Amino acid sequence: MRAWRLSRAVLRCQWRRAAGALGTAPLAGVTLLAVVVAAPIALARAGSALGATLAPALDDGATARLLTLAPMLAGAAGGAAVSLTSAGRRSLGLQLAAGPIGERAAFAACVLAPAGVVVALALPAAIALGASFGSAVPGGEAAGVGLVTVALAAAPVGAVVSEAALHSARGAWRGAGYSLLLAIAWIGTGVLLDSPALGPLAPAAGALAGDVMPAVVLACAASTAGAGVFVWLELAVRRPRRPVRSAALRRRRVRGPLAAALPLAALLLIARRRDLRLCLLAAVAFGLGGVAIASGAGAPVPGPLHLGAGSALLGAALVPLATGGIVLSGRWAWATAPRSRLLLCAVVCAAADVILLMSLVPVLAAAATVSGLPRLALAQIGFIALLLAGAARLAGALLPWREATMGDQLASFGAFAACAGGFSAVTGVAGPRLVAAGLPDALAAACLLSVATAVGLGALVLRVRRGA
Amino acid sequence: MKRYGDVVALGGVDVGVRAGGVVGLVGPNGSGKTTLLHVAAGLVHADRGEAVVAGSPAGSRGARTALALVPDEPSGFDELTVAELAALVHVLWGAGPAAAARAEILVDAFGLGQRLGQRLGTLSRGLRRQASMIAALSLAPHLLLVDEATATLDPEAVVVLREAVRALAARGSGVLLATQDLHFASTACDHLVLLARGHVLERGAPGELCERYGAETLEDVFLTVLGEGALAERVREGLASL
Repeated sequence: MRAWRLSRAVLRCQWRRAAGALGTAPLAGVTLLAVVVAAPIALARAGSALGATLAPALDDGATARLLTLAPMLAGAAGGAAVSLTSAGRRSLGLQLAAGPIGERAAFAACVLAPAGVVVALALPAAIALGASFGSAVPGGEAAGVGLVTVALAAAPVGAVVSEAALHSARGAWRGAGYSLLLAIAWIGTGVLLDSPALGPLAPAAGALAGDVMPAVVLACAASTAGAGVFVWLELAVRRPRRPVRSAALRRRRVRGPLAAALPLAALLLIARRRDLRLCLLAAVAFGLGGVAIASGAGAPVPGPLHLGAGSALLGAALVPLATGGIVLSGRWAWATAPRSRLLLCAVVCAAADVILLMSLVPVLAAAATVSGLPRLALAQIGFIALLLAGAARLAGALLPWREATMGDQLASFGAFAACAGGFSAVTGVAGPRLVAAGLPDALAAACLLSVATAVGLGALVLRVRRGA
Repeated sequence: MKRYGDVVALGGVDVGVRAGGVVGLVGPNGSGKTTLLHVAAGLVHADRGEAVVAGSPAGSRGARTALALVPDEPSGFDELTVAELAALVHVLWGAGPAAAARAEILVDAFGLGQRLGQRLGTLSRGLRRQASMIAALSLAPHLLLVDEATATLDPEAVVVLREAVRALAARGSGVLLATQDLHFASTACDHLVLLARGHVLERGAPGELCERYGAETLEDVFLTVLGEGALAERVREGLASL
């Protein structure tokens, strides 16, 4: 009962917040709504084209496994990001956190309920993509939808992995035990099903080639998701407290290099955020994992690079997404300082982009080691990273990232997904036309990136001017 | 005891609040007042020692049901209205219709009747604290914890808070509040605990303390106990060069 009432309050807040954003920025809001509504149609077309392109390659088991690994890693990275940014019952605010609310009820209300709503909103588009992709491959539409269930099932598993890592890092060995058991169960099931990396989700790869019944895929995904949510819940409600490091009690002069170095201050503002640091660590870990798994599964070049960088980007995009919240929380200083607000926002955004790109370096280095680093693939990843950063900034300006509740954060995630979808659609439409008009590829890409950056930055500056 | 790294936030603090008693925690910033309230609320675990609320260990379901906290900076649920916050708190604490009736009385007393439908995120910090107070005080809990009791409140709200706290104490609630407002502490509390660097330096009824130190005001007692009796003279010369 308490969990239900609390969930209702959390969801009501998010609904009102989204409606408020629509009221304050109607053009952007309506555009985002149009993207959400049109997404299933656009993704269905994209899925058909992708399926037709990849269908001949599915005779090779490695390609099918790689196609299954991509949504699995994306789902796991998303789950890890949600888990690591969850602040537990403290996200209820001190007044309610002190109340007679069970840990499970708090977790259900603050994490599971908003996550469920986000999944429900994204599901039609995801199913449209999967089904249309499946219609072009031997396994059929159900096999394509199976890929969607793989991403959904991997999300709680990614959350468990990150929670277990957090437990271990804080000296609670229950987490290490859970991770070990999970790894043994995962790899053991995978060995039985002929793909250690995919674990119990391996049947999804076979289903693409029509070798496995889709019902088996669904059953495996459902049991994986169920077990994942259960273990996630158990670990999350027992998350050990963060050890407190003693602050260095040193006297410092008020003036100094920090006072003058705005970029350095912006970098420190971001780097000192614990949630962002954890997410970046997880993003790098998942990126490296993606490279290792794709390489181990025999994925063709540049598969390991794409899979690793894609997984890392999904987590690292949190940094530009949080930029809006960071800038707005310091609005009392930014908005009253005798400096250009455009300059202030641009500096913070540039700092976020630098951190985003830096987080890709270890993944790129690993990919270069195992499968080389083709220049074209590198340029593509740089383009996608900066495009995603622009989308994340726009989303962060519309629904600023707040640490208050997971619902707030998932609303920002949702806005990010919609903005990324919108940017992607615009790029897909405008890019080929720019090239057809005679622009070189690099210049066309630079034009698109400039627009994406300007839109994100402009939205942030407007938001700072207008207020939180 | 509670440590944060090398810093002792609370060390050997022994504070009791009896039913019907109003205990005020006073002390400099960083003296451990908020930490003590959070230990009692179960939000922070003491490294050593124990906190008990209505016979249950702090942080247990029983203790949580028996207390209500008004934090220094209420946060979260910005999109709920004042009325919805109170209703949510009543549901979560399992409070009956009597709590709703008390909330109405408190809304009238604080003068928030016109703002019941206003969202928390649009309120000033002082009004938001009043909304938080209405939600917490209407529960009439066994133990009421109020952090930075008068911070950001206007003078009228301070008077209402003092009378509400006294009324709750009269009906049997224990109140533990932290404040920097020594005038409020002297009029609202029947027992004061002076904390500094996580330790209790002095305690007693406001009148007793003034008598003990031969002081006219609690401010004089406060500064004397902290060894800062000549603070104004000491800083005046340095600040003259501002």
